[in-house]
Amino acid sequence: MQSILNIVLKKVKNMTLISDIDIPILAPKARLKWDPVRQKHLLLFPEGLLVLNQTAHEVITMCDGKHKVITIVNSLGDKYKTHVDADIRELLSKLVEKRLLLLLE
Amino acid sequence: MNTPLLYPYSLLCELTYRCPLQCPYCSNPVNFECYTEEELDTQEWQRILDEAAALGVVQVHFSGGEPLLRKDILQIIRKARDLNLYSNLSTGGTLLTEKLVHELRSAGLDSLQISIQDADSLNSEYISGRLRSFEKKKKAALLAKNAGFPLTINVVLHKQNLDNIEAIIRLAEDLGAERLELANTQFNGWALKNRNLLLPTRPQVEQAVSVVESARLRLKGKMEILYIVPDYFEQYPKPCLYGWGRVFMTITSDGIVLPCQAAREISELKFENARDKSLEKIWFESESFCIFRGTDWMPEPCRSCPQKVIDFGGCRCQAFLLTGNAAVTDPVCSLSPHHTLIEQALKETETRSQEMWVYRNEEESKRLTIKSLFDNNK
Repeated sequence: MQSILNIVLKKVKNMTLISDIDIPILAPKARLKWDPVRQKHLLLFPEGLLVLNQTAHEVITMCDGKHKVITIVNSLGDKYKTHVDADIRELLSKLVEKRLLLLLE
Repeated sequence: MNTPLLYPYSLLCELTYRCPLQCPYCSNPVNFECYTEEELDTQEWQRILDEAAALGVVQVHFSGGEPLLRKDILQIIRKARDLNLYSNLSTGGTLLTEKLVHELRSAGLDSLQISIQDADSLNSEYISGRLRSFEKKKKAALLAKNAGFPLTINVVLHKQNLDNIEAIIRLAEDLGAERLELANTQFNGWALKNRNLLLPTRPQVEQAVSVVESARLRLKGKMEILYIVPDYFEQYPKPCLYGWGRVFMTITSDGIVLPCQAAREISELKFENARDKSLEKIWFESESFCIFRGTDWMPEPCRSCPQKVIDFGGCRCQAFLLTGNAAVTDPVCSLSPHHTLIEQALKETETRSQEMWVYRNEEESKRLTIKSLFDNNK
């Protein structure tokens, strides 16, 4: 995941704590878009965007207000047979901190 | 570094140079008055948005002057929405009404930015040069929130308001902003004319940084604070627009296509007009976009500097306005042979002051344009 415009994700010093049972949902101000020119998935938001790799796109697609964090982590972990747990949690935390994802109770 | 061909992500549309405010640091060109009668019409803007989307633009930012002065603003926004572009509108806020804010929302506008000049009406209106504007701005922020817009408050920082930064942050918080953009004045255009009254002192800047840092901690997860540093106080220049002709494109109210909103003042470059050529041709082939793209154009001390892929040699507009040559290292860089220009300006701001700034308005624009023509031909 690579950040492009003037909002650059800062190193998260105190990682936002997200728990396994949180249910993330994409904030209304953020929008996923397939970019036909670059053949990439993008996440668009006020004054910025993120170019998403495939995993990041799949994670965000699952943030639909129906899946718990643990479900997202397990489902992608199973699919890729690699240890993506920490990466997914870090991505979710960053997006929560930027309020691009909201957490449902 | 061989830069691969890149498509622009972001387009700034300066829909008009007309504005009810007169902020003395406006980024519009000093001679904007020469171009106010040549505004692009609705169909031209819609065609430009078509071309931009096909060229890879995904974000469009409507600005001005005051973009809400355009009677066709809703038609232009609807077009952006139809093209699935993410749209922002940056306004002074004084013209926003309840009816208009809902129309903007249903036209498909994604996000609103409202400018604030300071934390109270007296200072704010002294800077904006518009009486009774402060209350209107606060009301506009409320309207934007109630209509469901994600709200950014933006504030240009300078000598006259830096000491109030804490109150400014509180105000943005009270107005319900999700983002606060604190941008120190960039000394191009009108701001350069008024530099003696706008350039802060070092203690002011240092104090502001510490206030911002603690506010960020306090507001983490609630309001994001973007702080754009004052480059006169930095060791290296800013990575201006992440490189010339790399990510951004600006189109002025009369159709001129620029790599940066301040670039029009680089009078040694000829910029193309979107009325005459396609954006694709201009982005990839025009001399004005190709000339400073990548790093091959760079002179020393940039050429052999490892920073060159980080800061891209800094701001071309600033280099031109301060030295008369857009192709030299940005003078704010401590390694620039022209860096004494910056040191002098910093010394002057401690000791000297203009009596009153020049407000950005049509009369002053005419006066300064004529004066500059006269001075250059003497």
